[in-house]
Amino acid sequence: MKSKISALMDSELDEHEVSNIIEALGKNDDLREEWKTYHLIGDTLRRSSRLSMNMSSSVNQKLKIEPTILSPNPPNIAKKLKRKIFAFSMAASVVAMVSSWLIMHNNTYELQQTLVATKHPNRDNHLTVTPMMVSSPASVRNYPHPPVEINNYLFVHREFSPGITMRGQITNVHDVSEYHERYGR
Amino acid sequence: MISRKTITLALLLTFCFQIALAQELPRSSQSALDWLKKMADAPRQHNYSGTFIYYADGHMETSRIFHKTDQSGEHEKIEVLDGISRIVFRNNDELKCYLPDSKKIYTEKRWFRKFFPDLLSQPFDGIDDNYFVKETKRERVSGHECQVLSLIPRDTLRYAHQFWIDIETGLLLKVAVMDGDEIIEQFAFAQLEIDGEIHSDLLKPDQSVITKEWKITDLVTSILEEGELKWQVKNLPYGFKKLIEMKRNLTDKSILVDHIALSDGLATVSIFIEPIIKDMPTPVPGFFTSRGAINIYVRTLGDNKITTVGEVPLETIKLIGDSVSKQD
Repeated sequence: MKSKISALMDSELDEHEVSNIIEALGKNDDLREEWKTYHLIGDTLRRSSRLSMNMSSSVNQKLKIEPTILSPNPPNIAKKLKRKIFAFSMAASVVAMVSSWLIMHNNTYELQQTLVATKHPNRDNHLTVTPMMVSSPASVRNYPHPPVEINNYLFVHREFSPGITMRGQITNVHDVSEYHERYGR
Repeated sequence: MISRKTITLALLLTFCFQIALAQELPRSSQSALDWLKKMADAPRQHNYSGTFIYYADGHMETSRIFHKTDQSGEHEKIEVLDGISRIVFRNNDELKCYLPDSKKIYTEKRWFRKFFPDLLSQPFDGIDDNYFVKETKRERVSGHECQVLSLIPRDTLRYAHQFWIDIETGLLLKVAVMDGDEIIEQFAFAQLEIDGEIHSDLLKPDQSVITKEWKITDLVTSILEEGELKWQVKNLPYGFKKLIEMKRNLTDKSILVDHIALSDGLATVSIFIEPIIKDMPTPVPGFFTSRGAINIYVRTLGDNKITTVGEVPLETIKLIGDSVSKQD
């Protein structure tokens, strides 16, 4: 079984074997430990600097905070996609595997809700993309404005940075869905 | 099944690799660190006045600065020229922030905050542990020949920085904060005069404008000894150390909030902890971003809300926010 896990990580298994091993991973704590260990070793060999982080929880967290947004692509996205297509295909296979594992083994995981962007975001709050925030634990809320006190915190943290809004303004803080849109990550 | 010994061995190997990884970037050269020291000392040795530009996320803002240093210390005025009017007057650690549009004045003490170009006012012992400081090239900024320093993070817990330091005086004339190859925010002088005479009137608010209608709010801070707060930060991400613990009010009416400030020698992170007040909107846990390098993480712990704010990547903000627990 151990060699199968290694083969799964190297994408050397056929479809049938993949589902078998994923099912086995779901039932067996030791196998999951092994899965983690192999990843740890893999990370080490690849010299990743995030060795100490619990991968499953961080991936879970990312899945929770990333709503699926259906909106027309702005023209510049095509260029970015071209550039990133290789990275995406690699990442997609890893994410697909990890997410299927998470879905099976994490009872608290809820399927992400699909949000639909509208051209009139203020018309219906339930369909608004920008103020949407997916929080942890997984739940989707409509969130018209970031909390006002965040600006007070920013004011105190970094008294004078022209980039920081001053007291009473709530224009600069974005929820993370927008952050992901802006930075594409 | 995999044995504990194997896991322990794997972890040991991991540590060895981590050490190897940490050593992959060499120690910073003494001359590079000397540039940092010169840069840190410069604001306390030189007068300067000029206009600088902040740029992030396609947004640009211009500010005017007057900075004077004499026997009584540092005196400064920074005025944002775009958007809503904001003027900060600083006399050493005393700050007065004027908001002419809303006729408000906030006064408080500055403990650790950084003002461009004075970004290294704190001791910077940890910098070489967390960043590889390297002299890269020489470039002209605002008519001044500058030494360019690259601060490359030794892990992914922090952003890279580039400093353009005036060769003659050591003043920081331009800084770029980078996430990989992408510049996420930038400050740069567009016009600058160094060591010119600065009339003290320029560093005082125009009293004729300020009437009785202006509302003055004193923001109170009280510094606490280690362990006085009922919170502790454990298992901080590598390189981050506690700078200060305090209680403070954020507005004139609000109750005191616990505030813990941390730094890795360059980036600063603040943790704010306050009780969740009944009948107030429930805090929404999650992540937020502000403009530029700032990230924000909100979580709850029992009846308290913990907000972590800092110019570090989202992952680091989360690790720091999660490191807060009640005192044992």
